[in-house]
Amino acid sequence: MLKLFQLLAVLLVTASAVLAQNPYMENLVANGNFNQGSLAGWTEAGPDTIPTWHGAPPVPAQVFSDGAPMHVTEIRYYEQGGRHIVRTAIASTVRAYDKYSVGWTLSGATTMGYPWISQVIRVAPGTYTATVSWRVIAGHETAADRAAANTPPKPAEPAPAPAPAKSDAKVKTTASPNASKPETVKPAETPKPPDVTRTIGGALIINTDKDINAYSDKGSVFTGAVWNDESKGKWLTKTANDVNITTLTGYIEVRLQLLTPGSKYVVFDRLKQNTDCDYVAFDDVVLQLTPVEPQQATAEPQQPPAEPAKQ
Amino acid sequence: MRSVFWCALAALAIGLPACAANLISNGDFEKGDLIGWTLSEPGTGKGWLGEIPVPTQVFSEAAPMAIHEIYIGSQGDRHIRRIGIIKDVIPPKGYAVGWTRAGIHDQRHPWISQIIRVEPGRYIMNASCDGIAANLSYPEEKDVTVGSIVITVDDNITPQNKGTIVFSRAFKSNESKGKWVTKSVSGVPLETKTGYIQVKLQFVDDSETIAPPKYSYVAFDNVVLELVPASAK
Repeated sequence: MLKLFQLLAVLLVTASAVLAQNPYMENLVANGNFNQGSLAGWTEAGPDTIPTWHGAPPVPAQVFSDGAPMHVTEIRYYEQGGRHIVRTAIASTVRAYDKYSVGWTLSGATTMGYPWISQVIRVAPGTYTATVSWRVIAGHETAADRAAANTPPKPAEPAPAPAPAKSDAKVKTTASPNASKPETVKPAETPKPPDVTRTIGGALIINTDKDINAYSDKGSVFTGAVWNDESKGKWLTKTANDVNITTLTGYIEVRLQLLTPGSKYVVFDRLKQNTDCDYVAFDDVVLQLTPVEPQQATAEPQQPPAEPAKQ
Repeated sequence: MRSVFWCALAALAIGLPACAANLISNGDFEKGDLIGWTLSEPGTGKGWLGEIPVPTQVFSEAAPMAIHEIYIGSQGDRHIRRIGIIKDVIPPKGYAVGWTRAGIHDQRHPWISQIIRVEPGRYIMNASCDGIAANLSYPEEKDVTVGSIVITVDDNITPQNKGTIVFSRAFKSNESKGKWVTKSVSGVPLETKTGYIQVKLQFVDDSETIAPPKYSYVAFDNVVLELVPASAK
């Protein structure tokens, strides 16, 4: 019994020492699971929040749940040329991953602006090894999908290969372990090529220092993108380990951004007032940092300096 | 053709409503958004105090209003979250505008407004508006959930100041009980010294906590304001 206590004491002391060396091992993202039901902790990009913002507000970010799903937001241009963002339907087939999630819907014209939400985290300047994980879903919903929402779901499709990550760190994709949602199962054979037109995606982007609030991810330290031809309307879990982050100022931006593939984007026929939409959503955003200690010149214990020779 | 031209020229010369056209821009909300209206929130006026009100929603039968719950988080901060959608509130036609509330009594001061410029002077006013209100927790209580339309003139009109009220009507939850009601006036004298007229649609809810899934709501549609110069009458 005494040995057991001694062992526990050693473990506690060791754990305390490890935690003291890694003060950022907890999740640094506030409200990363959106279960506040709001964007508390996040900033939605737009003319009022980004000093260098150009143009009109983007399509709105929506915190949603199964009871209060996202609206379909359509971008219209009327006779006078004014840009309007109009809610045309309820995206009822897009289910939140767990309680609440955040997402965007796109319908109509392609001028959706630059929809993103972000939060800036303050740490001590230095170099860190980061572990990042998040859940993401991207897909296309039609009015027929909504009408058939009560019919039994189709059998799961095989998961495609994960999208390449910008950082050197490898991004791992897993089907999200949520029993209430239909999940993808990774097959043993080679994944089939995408059979879905790429129209929308979502990226988790990490910026530091001067690249915070930039429109593009050109200067980002990490970009993990997932497109609808990968997700196919299923929640996926992404993780990236060993992401190197160096910040000179101590400011790190975690951003969730809607992506479209430029000219490949499908323009819906707005004259038909089509309520079909593309969507992307996120949940469970986690960022953990481990400080990287400066490298020692040698691993061996240093010899005490020789005493000066006596004269 | 020539007579049409002279008629058009005469109308242009008068410049301002010689005939009774609706002066409200997007008064039926058929644009599907709040174009023409100013939303009350901290960013739209320097006199705003406090946090943002419950969101204003332009809605339709296909894209109904969401139920907004106001609650205090674990750190004591105020949050607004969507907890459901109201499928049985359907605009008379196309789109309408409205607000919903559940949870604590802290919806702040939600309203939308627009300021119309006319020639200073005396007018005869016709105004009408469709409204609906309900409170599922206090359905019979008087004046507990009210949608009001208020028309004011002059006296430092801004989204924050009242000005001089020339017309107001209330859509009360204990009267409407979830049914659309039309309220109108005609032949009311209106005088403006500055030429500025403000039309405001407002959501007032004085009920105590509304425990979800119950909620209250107010909505408006087909806002019309017509002015005829008094001298023309």
